[in-house]
Amino acid sequence: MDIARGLKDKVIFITGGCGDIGGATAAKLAELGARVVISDLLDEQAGQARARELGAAAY
Amino acid sequence: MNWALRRIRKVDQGNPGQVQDSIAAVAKEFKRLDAVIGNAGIGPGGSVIDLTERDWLDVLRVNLIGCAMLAKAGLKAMLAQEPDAEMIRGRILFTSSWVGDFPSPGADAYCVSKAGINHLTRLIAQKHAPDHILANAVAPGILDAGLTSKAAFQRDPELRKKFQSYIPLGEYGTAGQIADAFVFLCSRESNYLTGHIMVVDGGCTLTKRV
Repeated sequence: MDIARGLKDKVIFITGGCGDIGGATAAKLAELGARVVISDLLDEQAGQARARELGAAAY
Repeated sequence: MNWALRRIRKVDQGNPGQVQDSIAAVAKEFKRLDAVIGNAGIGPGGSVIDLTERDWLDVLRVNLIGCAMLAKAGLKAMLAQEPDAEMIRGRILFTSSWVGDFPSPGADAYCVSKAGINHLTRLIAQKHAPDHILANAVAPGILDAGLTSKAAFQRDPELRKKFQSYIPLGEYGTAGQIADAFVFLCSRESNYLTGHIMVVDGGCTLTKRV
């Protein structure tokens, strides 16, 4: 089954996006074509590292 | 992988002004907001007898009120847009926890915040169903990831073994398995689903209480 049909170009905003669950969720949604905006407390060192790991561009 | 369209914003879910500004910026940039996922959370350990007023205020501010204010900002943006081709105007999603419905003494403020999220989900679902806005939550069981791992297992390694015995499927859940539930709740396959708390726990709510 083509699960997650209809996700292409969907705009999705997630908080806690640098954590384990948030990061995995953002990654899967983006992989399926959604436009995902992740948010987190990026001043924490762990959050920064996680963001780099996920390869996202900060702005 | 479609990373090019991904952006990061610095946001404290417990700060309603930051949340509102972020949602407004996203809606403005993309001219659309299909889903918000309130996933940030904190979870200090402690039972009622241990927790201070400050602990309660912090947990409820970030976990529960943060989700309510995120939903408020998301709803406003969604109500201002037309439904998509599937007749869905938007989706409000939260990360709950299996402890939202099954009390697990030792992280009492966290449990109460998740119980609140479950009810928040149902309230939003009921109120905004006529607007074609869906509200659902994912309630993870015990993961060797996220807050459980950070807060509980690192403090008490014995807990890791003990908790595993409570999971009928025998293994800890992964962040990816929780992500799969969110993917479903964002997808067209869940268009008729609202007010639902999707427990993804390897069966642990069927068995012993922790």
